[in-house]
Parts: sequence; structure tokens; C-alpha cells
Amino acid sequence: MHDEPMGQTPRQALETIESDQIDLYLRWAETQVPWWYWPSFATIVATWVASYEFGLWAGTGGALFAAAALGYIAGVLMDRSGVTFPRVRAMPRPLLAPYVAVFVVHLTVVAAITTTVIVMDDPPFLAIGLAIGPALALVGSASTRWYRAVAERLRAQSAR
Amino acid sequence: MDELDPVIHAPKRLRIMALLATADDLTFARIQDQLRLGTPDLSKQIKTLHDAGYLRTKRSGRGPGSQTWVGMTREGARAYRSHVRALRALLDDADSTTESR
Repeated sequence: MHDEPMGQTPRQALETIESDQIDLYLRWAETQVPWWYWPSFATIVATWVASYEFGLWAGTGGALFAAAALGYIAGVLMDRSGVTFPRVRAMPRPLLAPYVAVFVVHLTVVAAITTTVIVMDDPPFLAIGLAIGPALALVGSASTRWYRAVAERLRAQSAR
Repeated sequence: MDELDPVIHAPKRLRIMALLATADDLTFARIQDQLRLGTPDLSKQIKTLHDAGYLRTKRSGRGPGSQTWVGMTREGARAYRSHVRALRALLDDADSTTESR
């Protein structure tokens, strides 16, 4: 069964796998969340929200378009990066905060849109869409930069 | 008591399992790029892990754009975690022996 030398000490083996794992988490952020992801995501969501301005049917069409477009983008990004979703269990603790922040951004947007639709009688969907687009692109890109910065720092530490 | 798993203990296979512990599925190309292994070598290591019941593979797409996705089975995940715990225990033992001298 042992078809290759076992020349590693436990410490070397653990350090190697830790370094490999950090490298994968970093490359995942580089390849699966490219610069165009957040602007595309923001445009799709903004279009969906703005489509409600033209009635419920237009909004439903917008929602279907958004679901299809986001599903397509997710497929492209997975094929491009060769990674599905990173597992949180093996993720180094410092990376968890920015990783979770990315999902918080997504959930906050959905919650804000839903609340607006429920609470307001005649919400200005077009204006909300125009406002939410750039905000989402900026906050999303910032969370990705944060994640990358932490991953870079961990990679530098593990290389020492 | 956790023990070292002879299938996972080989350095290349341990690195493959460690990568697969970080994501649900990875493509063959991603693993190859990350670990800088040749195609025959990686295929051989993946086959060994697959035969042990530790990995599952599936193909997506057709033609030149098709990809092979590799993921860990539950049994593989259990074996990997047990192996890593055994490595940590060995390291702790070595550290405590050094300190007691």
C-alpha cells in the first residue's frame, strides 16, 4: 500500500495540509469571486427590484430572470474555479468572519427587499433598484477584498 | 484511539484528502493544479482512494468542456479526520517527550 516514501514527520504532514488548505481557500476567492461577480450580481438584483415598478407580473418575470441569471453565473463560476462551495468546518478561524460576511450581504439584500415590499404601500421600486445596485456592488466587493487580505496574511504566515 | 490510516498516510494521498476536506467537490484539474501532480500520478492516487471507498467521482458536461468532479465520501471524511487526529496525537506526544527531557 505504501508506494511512496513516508519521509514526513507528523508536524511536516500537518503543516503541508494546512498550507494546501489555505491556498485552496485563497484561490477559491480569486477564481470563484472574480472582479465582475459583484457588479453582475448587483445589476441582476437591481433589475429584479426595479422590475416591480411595472407591476407584479413584471416583478415575477424579473424574479425568474434573476434566479436563472444567478444560477447560470454560479455554474460558470464553479466550472471556472473547479470548486463547489468551500466547507466551513475546515476553514481557518480568521477566514470565517469575511466568509460569513459575504453571505450576510446576500441575506441582508433579500431581507431588505422583502421588508420593503411588505411594509410600503407603493414602494419606489425603480429608485430602490438604482440605489441598491451600486451599494451592493461596493459592499460585496469590499467583503471579498477583506476575505482575500486575511487569506493572503494566513498564506504568508504558513509559508514562514 | 485514532490510528494512522495506511491508505491516507502516503503524502500525496493525504494532500488530496486534505484538499477535499475543504470543499464539497473539486475538479480533477483543480486538484492537479493545486498539488502540481501529473495526470497519471493523480489518477493512480485517486483510484486508490476511490477503491478504498474514500472518494466518489462524477463527470459533468460532454466533449472537450467536460470535467471530472471528485468528492469525499462519508467514510472518507471519517477516515481523514481520524488520521489527522492521530497525527496531532503523535505530535503532542513528541512535544511532551521533548519538554520532559
